[in-house]
Amino acid sequence: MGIDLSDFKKKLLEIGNKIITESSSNGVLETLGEGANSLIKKRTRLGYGVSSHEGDKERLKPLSDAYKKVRKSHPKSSDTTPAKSNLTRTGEMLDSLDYQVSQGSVKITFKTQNNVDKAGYVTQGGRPFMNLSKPEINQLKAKLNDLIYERIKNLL
Amino acid sequence: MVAKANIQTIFNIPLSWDASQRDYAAQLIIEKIQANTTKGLDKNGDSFSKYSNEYKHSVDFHNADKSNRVNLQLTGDMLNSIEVIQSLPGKLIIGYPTGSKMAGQVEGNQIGSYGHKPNEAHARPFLGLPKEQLDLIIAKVNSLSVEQKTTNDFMNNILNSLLGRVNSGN
Repeated sequence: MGIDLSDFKKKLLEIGNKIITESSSNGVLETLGEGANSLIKKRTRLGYGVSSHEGDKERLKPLSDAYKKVRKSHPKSSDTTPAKSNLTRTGEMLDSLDYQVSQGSVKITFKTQNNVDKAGYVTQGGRPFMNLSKPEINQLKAKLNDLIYERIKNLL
Repeated sequence: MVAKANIQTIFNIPLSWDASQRDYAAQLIIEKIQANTTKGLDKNGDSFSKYSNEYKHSVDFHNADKSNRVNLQLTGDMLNSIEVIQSLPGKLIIGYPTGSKMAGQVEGNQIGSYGHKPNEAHARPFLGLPKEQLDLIIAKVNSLSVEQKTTNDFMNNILNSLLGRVNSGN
């Protein structure tokens, strides 16, 4: 007995479109948003930024000596040291990372306007950190892979 | 200068396989290397050498939420940058391009150099698979049906479509 591949491909296409439509409204985009936030927060706390989408991660620009002195005399967070450039002093900005799902897409942002402004300021100052590197996108892809396979199983 | 042999591994596969079978095998090999490393196992299935006490007490160790299990993941970039360097009849070369920013870090782990002389006692060779695991992958690809091949391609399209919906950056 032969296999009608065109019928099979047609069925897959229908399932694929259904998954993409459903995924936009039932938790998959939220999972992506949470995953992206967690990757950005962790990498930045480790002292790395990414200057463009799918770019390489790079060490964040070092702190000035004057600012290191200020940080040494007023320690604020256990997630950093006086000399470590990781966009962390109190930790408030990175802890405020958030996402918004709307119209089938997810936007990575912050909980407060103050932190949106702060992120813009540090990016303009030469420490871009809100982009996702290619390996980070690969990590999100792997996470999605498991989720989507579950959904396909339920649809077949 | 990083040596290619330290950052790329050759996997011998059946000569008769077409490009699509090689692609699928490469995907399975990369996933298996990532899974083994995450479990703390090297290319031979042995446990990695332990982290130093100094490293365990660093801010980076704390910020990366690491545990005592050695999994070679700080940001996760190194493991998630493994790629197919070449796919040829009978042979897959998997690892990192010589010009990759990861190359030094990968070599450091593979031969235990970490910017110094190679030291086998500190090496964590992760780029490879025990023979029995590669044999299982070869058997799996040999038994792959036309429908499964098409499904794999389609899954990739779905994932890429969903990932295109994330907007980050300033």
